[in-house]
Amino acid sequence: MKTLIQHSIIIYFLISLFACSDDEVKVDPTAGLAKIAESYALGAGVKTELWAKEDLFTGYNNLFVTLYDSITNEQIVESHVHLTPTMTMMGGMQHSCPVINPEGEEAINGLFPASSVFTMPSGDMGTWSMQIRVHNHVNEKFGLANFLVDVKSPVTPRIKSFQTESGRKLFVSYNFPATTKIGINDIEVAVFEMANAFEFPLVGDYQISLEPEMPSMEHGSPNNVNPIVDPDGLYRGKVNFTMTGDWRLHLTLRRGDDTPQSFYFDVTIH
Amino acid sequence: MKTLILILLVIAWSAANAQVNEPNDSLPLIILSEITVQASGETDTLQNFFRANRSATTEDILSRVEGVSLVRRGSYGQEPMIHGMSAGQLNVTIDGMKMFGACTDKMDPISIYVEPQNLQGITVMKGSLGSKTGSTVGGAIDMQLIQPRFSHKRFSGQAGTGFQSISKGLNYYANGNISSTTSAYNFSTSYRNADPYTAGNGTTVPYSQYEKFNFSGGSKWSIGSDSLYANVLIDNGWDIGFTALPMDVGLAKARLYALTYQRVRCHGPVETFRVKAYFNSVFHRMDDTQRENVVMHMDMPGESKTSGIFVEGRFKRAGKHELSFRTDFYYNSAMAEMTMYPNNETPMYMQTWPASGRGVSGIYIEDKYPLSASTRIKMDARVDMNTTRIKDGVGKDQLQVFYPEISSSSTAVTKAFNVSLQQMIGNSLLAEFHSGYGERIPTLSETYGFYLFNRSDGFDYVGNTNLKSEKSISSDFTLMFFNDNIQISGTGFFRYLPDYIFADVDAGIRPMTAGANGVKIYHNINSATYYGADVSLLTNLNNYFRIVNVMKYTRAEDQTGTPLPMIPPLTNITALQFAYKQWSIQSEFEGALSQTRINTSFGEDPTPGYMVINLRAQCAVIKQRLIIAGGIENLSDLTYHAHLDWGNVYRPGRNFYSTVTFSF
Repeated sequence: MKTLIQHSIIIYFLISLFACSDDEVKVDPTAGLAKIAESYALGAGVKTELWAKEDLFTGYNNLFVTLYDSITNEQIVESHVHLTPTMTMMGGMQHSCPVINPEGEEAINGLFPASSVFTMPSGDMGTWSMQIRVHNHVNEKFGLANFLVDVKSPVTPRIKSFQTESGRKLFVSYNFPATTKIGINDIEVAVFEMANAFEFPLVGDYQISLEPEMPSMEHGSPNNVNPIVDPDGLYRGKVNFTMTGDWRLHLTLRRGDDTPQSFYFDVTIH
Repeated sequence: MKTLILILLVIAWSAANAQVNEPNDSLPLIILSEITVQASGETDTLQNFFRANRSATTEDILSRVEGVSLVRRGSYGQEPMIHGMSAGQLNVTIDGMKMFGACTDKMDPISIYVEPQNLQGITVMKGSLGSKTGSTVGGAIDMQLIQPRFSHKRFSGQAGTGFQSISKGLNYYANGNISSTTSAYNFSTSYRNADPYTAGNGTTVPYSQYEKFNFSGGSKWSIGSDSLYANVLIDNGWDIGFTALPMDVGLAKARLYALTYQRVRCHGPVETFRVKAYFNSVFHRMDDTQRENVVMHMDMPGESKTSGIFVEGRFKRAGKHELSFRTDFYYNSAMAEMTMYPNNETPMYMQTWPASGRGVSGIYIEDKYPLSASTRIKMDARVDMNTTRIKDGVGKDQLQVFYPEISSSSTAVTKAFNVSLQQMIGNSLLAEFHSGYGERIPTLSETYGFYLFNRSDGFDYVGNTNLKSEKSISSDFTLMFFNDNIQISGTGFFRYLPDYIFADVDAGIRPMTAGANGVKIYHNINSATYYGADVSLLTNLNNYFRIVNVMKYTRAEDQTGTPLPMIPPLTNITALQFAYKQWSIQSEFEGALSQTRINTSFGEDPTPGYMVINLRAQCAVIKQRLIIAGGIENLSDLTYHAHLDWGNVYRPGRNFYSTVTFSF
């Protein structure tokens, strides 16, 4: 029995030795994501890559930033990351769009998650560029990476804008954190205000009602949950799809005595 | 013995004594609580009552049995009902095997997959007495397949053809038996093809066509006095119209395979038993391509597979006790899908029956015991363990929209027990009293159904995963008078069903089907009560004349006294038979009273009474080898429909039919 235990310990030790080798295959965190662009953050010696769930479009984009030290190629998982999207119009005028920067300075699974809600597509109106400010904790230097990005109009609109009675301009967009499917789906709604050309704070004081419908059949689904604002400024609720096909999300935004704002987004569930 | 304490002492006439069909002139004895109909082709006049037209379908035969009615949604594929109870309230089996249709709209009760050519008999048990094959509240219908016969005649068989004028319907059929000393083989086959039929007023009833092919084959090997029996059944239906529904059947396919070992040598406490292992699969595809004005084309395929095994047998006599048992297990998995194709848009897909599975295992015990020379008692009991499971995937995700906390599986125990007492009074009077309790689990549609459109009331039905089993407390009393010339029996029945499964409107949910009135969700109501009577008469006026009469009446209502939907009115069929040498002539009067006890929230309307007259004749020539039959159904060309006919679709008008059958 004693020799058995001794043998077991040796075998166990050997296994754990091999189990922890550096040649272990790591799951690639960017698997399934689309690479938008990469550039070097000059001044910090950081290779910056910009990834997204899908090619960039006007609406709520889930973005992911990965950072690598440009000399050692080691992945940088701790950094201050700040995104600034800028559109340069024909004629020289510039403006930004709503953006949500990564919370904190820790990467999640090697990725720094962020969001950018582009308000118009690239093209005749102008070109979009994305500036990412990073901080390399190895050499304690800051750097700026600049990309030109292509933003397209999606098949159906994924962002709507309206003006309140007091003249504020608001943008509303939605995001499904997971791939949409039949059944219960979590949904996020983001409402941004255009304070000026470069500042778009989140607006959290609306009551949002969300009703899904299949326009071709004029039926909806039961037991949906209206999005309610969370501490991070996004509204979260649940949308139920009873079948695949083309659905229409009817939203109504209410605030105090203001005229309710109603509009819809078309989504296709596969 | 402990087993005897559990087993209640029960008595009845044994099945062997009481077959309805006896091929001689004496009156056959009809079992009171159990009805067996022989369906194989012989020239017996009583058998001619049940299988009036040799092209008749299994449903036509069932419609003449005491207590049985048929719900008609199309001209083929009618759903059997016993005393107003149907679907999950009944056990419908083939040779004791469980099989389940694959259609969410009940277009394929499994009787559609079996032809009279395949059958040697049909046994009907009413109420909780049907619990031998599974705990039940409504009863049981068991269709027994013809087994290969060991015979000194090496080869025998039959072939024939039939024609119906009302639908230009053709029917070809054949069966055969090959026998040697140690093995025997048989087959039966049938092909049907009918166009839409015409009603009494000359209008064609649209979408009432059908085409069907059936083949059944068996092999039996004798091993000493035991036997091994393997059989297969194949049934394909194409283009079966369902006039009362928005869609027809494009294809309905059933496959059944079974292996049976029968042991008759004494083996310990069990005297004789058989073990049967089986597998069957049903594929069913609805089709709307034949319909006009279809708003949106949809594909609706469904699938149902069942595998099972059972052992049933008799114990050696313990004193005067006749004990028999059955233990069984089956597993049924099913799924039905719907894909809709809107113009210029993405197709819409959902599962009307989410992929699910149900496993049931149970035990049944029965004891028959003579209390005295004139008194017998029969007791039986059954307990089942039912596990129902919804598989992960689209179907479960859909139902989470209604039931976010839906559990993957649930288990329910169901039980049944019965006591029947039979008493001979004098020489000609027999009385039987039965009392029993039964339960039944909800069906797939009632549990997991997802927006199932009901054409009758225009509502989408959604299942309820929290349904309780339906229960039944029942009682029957039968009195039968018989002598050499006459046999008349009347049975009164009463059934009280607590937790009756019904569906009510949920006003807060919008329907899915375009144009539907709303959504109804299944739930248990307080109770439902059924009561009624069956009266049967069989009499020889003299050596040539015979009268058969079967009358059925059911009344049913919920706890508020509101009539339940789909309850037939009083129906009666009278047959006058005249037989002389090789000739036999039969005239029938089939009718029903009006039904005004209706349920309007289910979309019912009152149905007027009707009576149709049929004339039939048959002649056996060439030493009974060739039988030529023919007749006129609905002689007066009446335009009518029965209360259980969905959509008030008219029944066929005057139909001239003929059949020619050759035996060898």
